[in-house]
Amino acid sequence: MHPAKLKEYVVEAIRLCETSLPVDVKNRLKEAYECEEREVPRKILGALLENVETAEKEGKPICQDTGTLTFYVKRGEWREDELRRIIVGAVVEASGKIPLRPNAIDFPSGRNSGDNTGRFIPWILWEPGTESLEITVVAKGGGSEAVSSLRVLPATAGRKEIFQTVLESVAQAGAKPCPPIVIGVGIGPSSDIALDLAKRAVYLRPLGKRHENSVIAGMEEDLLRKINRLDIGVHGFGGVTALDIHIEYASIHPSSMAIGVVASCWALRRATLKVHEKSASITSHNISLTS
Amino acid sequence: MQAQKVKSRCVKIFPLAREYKLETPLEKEEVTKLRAGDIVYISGEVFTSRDRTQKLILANRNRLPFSLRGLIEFHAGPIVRRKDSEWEVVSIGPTTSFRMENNEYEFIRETGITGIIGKGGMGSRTMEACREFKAFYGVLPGGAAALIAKSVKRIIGVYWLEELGAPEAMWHLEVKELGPITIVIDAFGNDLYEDLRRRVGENLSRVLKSLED
Repeated sequence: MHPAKLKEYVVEAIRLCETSLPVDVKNRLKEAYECEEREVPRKILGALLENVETAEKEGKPICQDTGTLTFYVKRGEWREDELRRIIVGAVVEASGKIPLRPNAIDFPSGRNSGDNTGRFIPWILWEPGTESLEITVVAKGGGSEAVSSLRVLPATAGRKEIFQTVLESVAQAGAKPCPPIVIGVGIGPSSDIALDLAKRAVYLRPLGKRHENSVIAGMEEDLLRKINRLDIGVHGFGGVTALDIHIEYASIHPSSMAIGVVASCWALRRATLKVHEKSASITSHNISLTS
Repeated sequence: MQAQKVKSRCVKIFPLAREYKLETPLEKEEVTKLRAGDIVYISGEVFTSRDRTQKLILANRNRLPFSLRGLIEFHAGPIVRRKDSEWEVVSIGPTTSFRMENNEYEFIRETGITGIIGKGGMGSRTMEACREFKAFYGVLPGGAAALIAKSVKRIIGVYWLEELGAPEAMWHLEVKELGPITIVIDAFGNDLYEDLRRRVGENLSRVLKSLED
């Protein structure tokens, strides 16, 4: 595939990421709306869904905070430096075309680059797996990022301490991350691994899908029920607090267990582009880019 | 996963939620009809403002070409673009209000605004100002920026665009039925998010207790 063609597809992935929701997220929000009996949360959920429809129809960003763009890339046969160039170029183009809010600020100089690129930004993470090129773009805003938390506990910590960490983090966040939220929990030997896994848990697994490990899957079900018993609700007005929770884990260290907790606002924005030799599609949105 | 599973307990916290359509300038008598939990839609003039904007507005309040009295302050950072020679609002939604807590008391007192809209809640000083000067604080659905942009009819003017950049500049807007806005702080000292913090704290203790083996 020609690099210019790939850049075009990445721009399209960013556009879909910012102006619509993945199929699973939209379905889950609709479900939440249909189940809601209370007047105020129902009204707000209705407005959120109407907002998504408007954004899709008019090609406008769902939220004015179009986030810091992060890319998870399985590079296939492509070279890293070439993909980086294509992705950065696509971000610049998408920023002007959609348009996106300029969110990349060089803090020593205070200068906003104006096109969402800068030092290390967009953030690109390289995934294992080389069969074919797969790029997932994620847009996360500042409101939900402000409530991320991390605790490093002794390795003797267990289910109870994990639950306590997550519940306290969600309670502390309250209405700030624009609930109903999706929660990612990462458990690992160190702080960076825990937070990286927490982010992946939110963004790389479809809503409603449980972890393949039955113990973890059971914890997810149980925690989701307990979080919803906090009764923060839609924007803090009661009703559903969390649409889902995903836990991901790595083997821990004999002395420490790090727990990262990350929340996404209701507008969980991601798009996954899959590129094969002759075809390309955005699987998160069930859209084929080639005829 | 069944939808049923994530449904929380049913607690009626808004038995008296009512809906109002309001117009600016909004008189204090109108504000005192509102109660925390009500839903309102606003038509007329509003202006965007955040931390740095508030300071400039306060310093220049007598030099602005329009009166802020009875208007609504909107905590927002819009995406705008030039269309021909005119500015157009692409997306506009509420931003986290608490960043404005330090200035808000003085801002309400000095400008005579009768309402603030944003998201996430304000602190006790704003609550006091709302009671003392008869104003409200309400929240728009966070992230609903495409929908909210539809209710912006016109950009009346923009101030400090060069100095602050588009997201932080003061955008003076004409809106039609901007909402749904849920009243969080009314003019009588009620604060829904303060109640929420208390309720969630109690729920948290109860759930944590149930974790004990």
